[in-house]
Amino acid sequence: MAQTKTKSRFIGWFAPIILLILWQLSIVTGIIRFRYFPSPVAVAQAFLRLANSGRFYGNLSHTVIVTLVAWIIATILGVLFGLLIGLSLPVWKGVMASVDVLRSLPIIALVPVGVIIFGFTLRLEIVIATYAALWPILVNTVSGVRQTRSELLDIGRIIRMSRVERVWKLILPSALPLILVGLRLGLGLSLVLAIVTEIVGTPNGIGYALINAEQALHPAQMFVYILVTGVIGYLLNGLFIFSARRILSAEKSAEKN
Amino acid sequence: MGERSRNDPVNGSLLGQGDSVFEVEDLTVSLQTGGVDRTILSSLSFTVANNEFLSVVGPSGTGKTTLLRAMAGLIPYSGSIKFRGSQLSGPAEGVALVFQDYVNSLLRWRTVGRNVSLGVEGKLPRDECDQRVTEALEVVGLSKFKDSYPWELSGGMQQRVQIARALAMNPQVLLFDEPFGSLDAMTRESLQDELLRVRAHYQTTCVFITHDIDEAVYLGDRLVLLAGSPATIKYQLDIPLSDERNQINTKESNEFLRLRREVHGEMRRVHGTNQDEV
Repeated sequence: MAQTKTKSRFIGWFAPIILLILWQLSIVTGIIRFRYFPSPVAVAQAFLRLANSGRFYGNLSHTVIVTLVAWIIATILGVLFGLLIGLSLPVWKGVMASVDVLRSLPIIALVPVGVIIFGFTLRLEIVIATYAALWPILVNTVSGVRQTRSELLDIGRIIRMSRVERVWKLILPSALPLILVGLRLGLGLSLVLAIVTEIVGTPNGIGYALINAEQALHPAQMFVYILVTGVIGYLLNGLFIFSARRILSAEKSAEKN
Repeated sequence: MGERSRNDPVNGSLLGQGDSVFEVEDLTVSLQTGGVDRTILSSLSFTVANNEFLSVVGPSGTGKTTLLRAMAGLIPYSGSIKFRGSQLSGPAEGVALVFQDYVNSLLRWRTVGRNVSLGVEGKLPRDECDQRVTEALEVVGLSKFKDSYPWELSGGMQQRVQIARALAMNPQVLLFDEPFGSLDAMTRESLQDELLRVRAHYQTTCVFITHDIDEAVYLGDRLVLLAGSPATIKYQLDIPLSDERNQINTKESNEFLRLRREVHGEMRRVHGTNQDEV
């Protein structure tokens, strides 16, 4: 078992390494000829240069912090309103159509509107990233709450739990797996939209650095930032799954059975 | 409509007339199914005596579960259901319900022990609560599994957890909704015997719904046959088997076979008229 695991991990590295070698070779041999298409080696060099400059870490932490702050706000709002909508049939009937319309609007199309309202500010970034993360969290909380088994709700009544107890002991825990799905989707969207607003013009963060590198004709630097974005996304997601697994260890083993 | 019996202490001396725990009179239940009001139960009248085991049988889809949900105070009804002398207007203290679907009735994020404590936690002092849980788990033979999760147990064991959860509440009445319906024959038989033992230990009144006539006769002191649409009580039968029952001797006894044949005959008869009506 352990052996296959290490083996598959090794195999996982195989494809990207081959790809990098092919990329390097095709540029060295001149198969690919674009003026601004850097080789992996050039990208690595650019990374080392950037890693020694202070601004790199400033931009990095800016984007990460914005992503997390927006995600946390979206979590609070999404779970709260999700509970409200999921628990009350009249509210659900009244607002779900609007929710479905609102969440179907492409969020990127709303960025220019945000720019007009907030200007290129930190507030713009947080509002846009929060808005993006809000919908998956809200919608998943609503369906998680509404999928609570009727047996559990009956038991809550027979035991004569208060409403708060019913939500806390029965509804929230049984909705938790779906809420976590929403949180994970929201985290990814929060990161993407933070970077989008930075690319559009907020003067800070990875997206801003990326667009700067483009305007300064530093394609190798651009690739560094793109890779960094990927790594941030990967790490945030990994961190999230790690903590979710700890919370849901019971849940996880249930799936295995 | 009288007061809910919620404030009464659990106390045998407060029992109403004739030692009845439940007095059901002219009970009619209509439920909305697909936007249409449908009468499920029509004018049922019966009583459940203290410490009695009442089996309710009937073809599936007749409304046995609806009857149980009405007695649990979960659905509105017309007519009268008196629990310990007062009109039922919601879930009453002292009534516990065991569902058929044990998987969805247990809290999969809680251990067995914490599932059993659900009905008493926060209502009793900590040590008394622990004691109730320990006792209930012991009675159903799951002491060793207190810290396991429900999904780690077999179906029969999960159903025992559900029974233990009901027992921990020290109810005066246990309502069972086809609790062994989805278990295999072997497990079902051992749980039937266990239920008889548990009931003797706690002296609990039981209302037990099943469509298995053998089970109904084997467990019950009395049997009610529900059939028709809307359902009415077609037939009632006392089951004068001794309290010491066992799977082999009891089920081979002439008395058991006679009762079983009689109920089967009645069932076939009402089922026949049913089909004529359609």
